Amino acid sequence: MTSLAQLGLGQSAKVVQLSKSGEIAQRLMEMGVTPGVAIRLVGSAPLGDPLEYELRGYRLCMRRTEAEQIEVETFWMSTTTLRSTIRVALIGNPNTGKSSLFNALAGVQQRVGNYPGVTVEKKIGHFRHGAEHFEVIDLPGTYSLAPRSPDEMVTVDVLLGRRAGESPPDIVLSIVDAANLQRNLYLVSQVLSCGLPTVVALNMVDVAADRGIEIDVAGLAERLGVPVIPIQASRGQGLEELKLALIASAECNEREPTDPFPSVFQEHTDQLSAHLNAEREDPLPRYLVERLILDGNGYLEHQLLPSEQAIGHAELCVIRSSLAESGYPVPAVEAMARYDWVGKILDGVVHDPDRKHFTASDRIDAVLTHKVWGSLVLIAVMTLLFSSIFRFAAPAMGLVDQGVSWLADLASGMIPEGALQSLLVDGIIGGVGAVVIFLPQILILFAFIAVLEDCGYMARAAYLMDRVMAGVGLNGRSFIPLLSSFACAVPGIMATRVIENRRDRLATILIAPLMSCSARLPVYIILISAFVPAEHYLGGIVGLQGLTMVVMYGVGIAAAVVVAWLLKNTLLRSETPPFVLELPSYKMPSMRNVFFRMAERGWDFLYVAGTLIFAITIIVWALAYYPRSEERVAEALAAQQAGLTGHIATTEPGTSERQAAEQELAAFNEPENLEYLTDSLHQQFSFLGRAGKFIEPVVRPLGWDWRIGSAAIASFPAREVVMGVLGVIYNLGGELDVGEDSDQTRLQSRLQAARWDDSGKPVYNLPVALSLMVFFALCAQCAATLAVIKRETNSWRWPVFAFSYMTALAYVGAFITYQVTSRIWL
Amino acid sequence: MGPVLLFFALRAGEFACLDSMVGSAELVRHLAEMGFRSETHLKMVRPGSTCILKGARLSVRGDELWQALVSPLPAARHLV
Repeated sequence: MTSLAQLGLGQSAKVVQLSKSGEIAQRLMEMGVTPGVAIRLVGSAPLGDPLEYELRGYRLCMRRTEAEQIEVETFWMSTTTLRSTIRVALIGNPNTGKSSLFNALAGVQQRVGNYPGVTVEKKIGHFRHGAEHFEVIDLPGTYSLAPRSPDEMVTVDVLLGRRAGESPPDIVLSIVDAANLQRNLYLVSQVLSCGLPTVVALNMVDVAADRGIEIDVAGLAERLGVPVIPIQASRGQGLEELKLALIASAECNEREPTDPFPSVFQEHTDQLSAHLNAEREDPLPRYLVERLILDGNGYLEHQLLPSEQAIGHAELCVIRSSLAESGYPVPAVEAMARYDWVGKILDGVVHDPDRKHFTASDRIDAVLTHKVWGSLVLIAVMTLLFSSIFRFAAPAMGLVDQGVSWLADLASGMIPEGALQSLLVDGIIGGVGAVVIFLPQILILFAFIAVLEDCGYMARAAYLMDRVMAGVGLNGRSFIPLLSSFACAVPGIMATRVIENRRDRLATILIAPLMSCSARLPVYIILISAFVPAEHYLGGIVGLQGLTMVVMYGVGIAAAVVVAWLLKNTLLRSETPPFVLELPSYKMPSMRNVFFRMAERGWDFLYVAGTLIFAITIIVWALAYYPRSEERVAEALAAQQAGLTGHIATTEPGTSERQAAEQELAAFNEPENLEYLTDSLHQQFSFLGRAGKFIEPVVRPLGWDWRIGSAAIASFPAREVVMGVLGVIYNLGGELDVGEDSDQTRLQSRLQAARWDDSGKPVYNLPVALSLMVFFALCAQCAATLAVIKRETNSWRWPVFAFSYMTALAYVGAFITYQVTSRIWL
Repeated sequence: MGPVLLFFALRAGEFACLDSMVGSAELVRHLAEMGFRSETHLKMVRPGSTCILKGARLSVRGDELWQALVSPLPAARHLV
């Protein structure tokens, strides 16, 4: 037997016994050096004595002579210097504290990406323990390892090392909820069937104890045949023991897979495995052969047996019939076998009192899921969430805006006027500003979502809203992303990750941009106050302008309902997925989880979506700037000036007409007017301006002239720029602030004065304003939104689809609006 | 064991033992994975088209469960 003093630096061992009794042994036992505890040598004094050990999450010094009295069993006999990284796959049911454990282990050493070809998030963290280096792969929360789609297949592929260029993990860390062991062990039994070294983290042992559930941890570990480590992930308790158990388990090679199935099932699996693998270079693991037999929807058959589908299907049908005849129908045999296995594992090891208490969660649920009180609380929570994104983010967004303006002014002062200055100020700084401005809203929304999810309320909100959302084929979890999209579709779409079902998630992503976001508001305000009469009805309670605003929000919602219904019945048609949602116990949210969630999503947006938005902004800047022709602009200015001077020359001196013409020329020659006019002419002559004139025949049926067409094209990257573009077009400069009453009035008067070039009739009237607003309500004029759709769906297909259908919808909507309203009002 | 009835028929606060589930194999399997299987003792907490039940601690949309048959349990025997 090895003594503790014989351990090498970094080496771990399990205490077997203390060979001497007496005061020192008693003292060591009191300090936690008890049989079974994991212990590791972490250092020694310069002369080799005393020695420093790590156990139970703390460090302990003792003399070599004392260490010699402690018998240990080593986990491994080499020092760690030769070991490469230990790869740990973290798996567990939803609501078991998996994220808390991942954050507690990896801290800030984590990064998020996507697995290629699917929408599953790839989250990898790193941490060290002594000389050991760990890489932990956070797999999506799941109740079962029964893949029915490419997204669900990712977890199985990672565990079995079937992803290209990736070996299987060294260890599977399976986290389970101590208060809900029966259901959690179903997944554990599937993990054990894969035959990988496994460590079970028994989380929330405090909650289980509060409910009177007694667990014999050593007995459970013995029956499972793997280490079981009690932890409290949210408090960081038990992590040292867990890390030591991971080190010890990494030494084991593949363990014998657990097989809970009846012998007849096992025989069929053996035969099928032998048959399928006879000529395969890359044999199918036994777990996947089992899954082929249990595969209900044919997904695995299609994936794993593409070339031998007909033969494989016939053989599988025979096996399933045989199993059914033996009293083990597929797929029910799996639940039967695994829950029987779980029952045997837990029998006598876990004592769960028969009479359950009316828990605190039950008491809270009595209010929060109540038809009336629950709905009122939901409205209050959602109002707070919505106003937070809408209003509380405003000061931070103002600061970002000011910072960007300050930087732009600074750059303007340092670089002479010209293409370089415009590129830097309007392109680069403007582009960066367009990305960073969304950050406060994203951080606030995800802080809220993290708190709501962590405390358990999110599931209740989904329950309360499910009936409403089911009407359009979605489920309750779509509600919060859609509500958030009224403030901004970017965080709204990022929030769709709470939706488990892929088709529901896609449908929600595709309709989220139809919710009228805050960037549409200035367009509505300017056009409504300029062209909708300020009439009031019902004794002044209802105003026509307010009503028009509500209608604009309603247009987006109605379109979203129709599109969702169409998507769920065409492109995203599938068997209605069951809405089965676990309602986890309420708990205090972990600030660490909230922080990591905010940081992760903020960085995700800046890095991935930001780069794309930035590129698009530069392209649009170039289209609006080039081809730059100072001569052509000077010629146009001179021609306009000559026209005014010529008009003066043809009028009688001293007449009022002459006076008016002279005033017009003086106003024309004002430096500010010349500057604005120069900007306007540059825009007209740019590629963008030419495009506006080019598409005039297309937008004319909407009641628009080429100027509105140009403004609409220019605002495709970001709809909020439309008023600035109109400001430039109508010679008010690009710095127009639509939040300022005076600027609003100036723009409104210019819009009211605008005339068609050919007929001289006013361009803007109520039907044109309504058509323009409907177009903005329905069009995907936001590069950030499209970039985030690409990010979240991991494909260009869906942003292209969203852009195409929304642009078509916007055009048709604006066309119908103009054609109908112009026949009523004109 | 009392008479077998449809899951829908349970009222708020009533206890039952899940007798059998008849429906799409995938749905039955998914529910079984979530802990909704034969002999599970349940309590209907909030009835409705989307209901809450305790035992498996789940919120379930009812129209997918219309083929779930349960045997009511007397309140005194509540094991949930």
